[in-house]
Amino acid sequence: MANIYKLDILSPEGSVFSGNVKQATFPTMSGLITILAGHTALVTNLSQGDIEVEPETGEKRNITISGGFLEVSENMVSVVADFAVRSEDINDELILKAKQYADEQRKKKENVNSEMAERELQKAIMALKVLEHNKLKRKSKGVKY
Amino acid sequence: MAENLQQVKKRIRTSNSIAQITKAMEMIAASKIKKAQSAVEKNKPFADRVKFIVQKILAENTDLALNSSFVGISKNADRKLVYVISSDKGLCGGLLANIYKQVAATVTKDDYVVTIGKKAQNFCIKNGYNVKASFHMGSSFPQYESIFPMLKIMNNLYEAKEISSVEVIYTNFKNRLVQEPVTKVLSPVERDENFVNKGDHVFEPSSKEVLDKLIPYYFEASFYNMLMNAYASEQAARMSAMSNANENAKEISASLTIIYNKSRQEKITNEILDLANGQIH
Repeated sequence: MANIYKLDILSPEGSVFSGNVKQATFPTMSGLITILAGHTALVTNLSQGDIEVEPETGEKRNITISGGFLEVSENMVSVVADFAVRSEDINDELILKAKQYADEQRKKKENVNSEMAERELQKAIMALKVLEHNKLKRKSKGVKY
Repeated sequence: MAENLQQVKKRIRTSNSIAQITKAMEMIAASKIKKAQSAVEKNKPFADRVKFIVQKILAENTDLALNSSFVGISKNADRKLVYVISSDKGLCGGLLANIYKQVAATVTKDDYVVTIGKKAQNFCIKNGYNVKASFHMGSSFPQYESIFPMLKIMNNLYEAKEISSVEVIYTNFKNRLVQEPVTKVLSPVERDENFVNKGDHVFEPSSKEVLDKLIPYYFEASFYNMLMNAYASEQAARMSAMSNANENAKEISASLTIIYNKSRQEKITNEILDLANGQIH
């Protein structure tokens, strides 16, 4: 069978999809593109959206990504996918906290109580962030199998 | 003599419980390493792919790299940013001392420092380094999301043209017995001279735009890899340190037991002697 190719969708946490496919459609910056076997070598950015995969066997499936890169070479297609939700304001808040924390530490090195409190605060912020992220992920990751 | 016996017994009990605690800590560290190793394994294809595409773009566009602020040489200032990755807790052998040595050898008081882990924070503040921010390492496996705020600092400083390069000091995980402190250059991105470029690729919309988008991924992937390495090293170092402590505690307990038995026997012998002497008189 010449009309299939190998597709790998990779994320930092591991492989999301790996196997032979007939075709797949990717959301790029300039619109959707469908890659069939024997496509010319290509590297491009992916935008937020669904990757529509049609495997060799089995049903079609959609994988939602929040961005990434597509690389096509010799019947091998790999996607470096990004599922993370980068919220700018959460980042900024965390940086601010880290900076404040460092400053405070510098000022009062021996005050154990404040340090403990700060640590708790950090933990709480982190937990909040993870919670928020998971919520968004669940919402955006409406994977249909 | 009786008092002494009690004391020895107490010490035996103490060393036994130390042996128990260290054993438990060793086992916890061992299970954490397993988890860390599988996470490193899972992350590897992603990181390799990102590095591959970056090197590919650099190989196909020899002129491009020098314009981009993150790639090639762009001396905005002489100052550099150094990330120091350590642990939150001690009890991990020579790991922290080695990190401190690296810091003292590579970081000047002028450089910006971002610490990850409480131990690095304490050390850097105490020694008067220019600590920009400090993050916690945490005792569980670092999340991918946790590196975004860390790297944002680097981006901000680059945009403000305050730094010329970024280095990371962390402990590289070779295997469960060997971990070595290393200083790696995160930015500027270096060309891999050994990279073999197979076939020309079409870049859409353009290689520069792809590279600009890709570079953050490159930093994230590299940095996350270092963070994972540091975490795995910490656990491995703690495991071997605790294993040693456990051995020592057991040894002490054994030698104390011998002392205890000997002195008890001595006491009994003395009592019998007293009794025998008493009968004669």
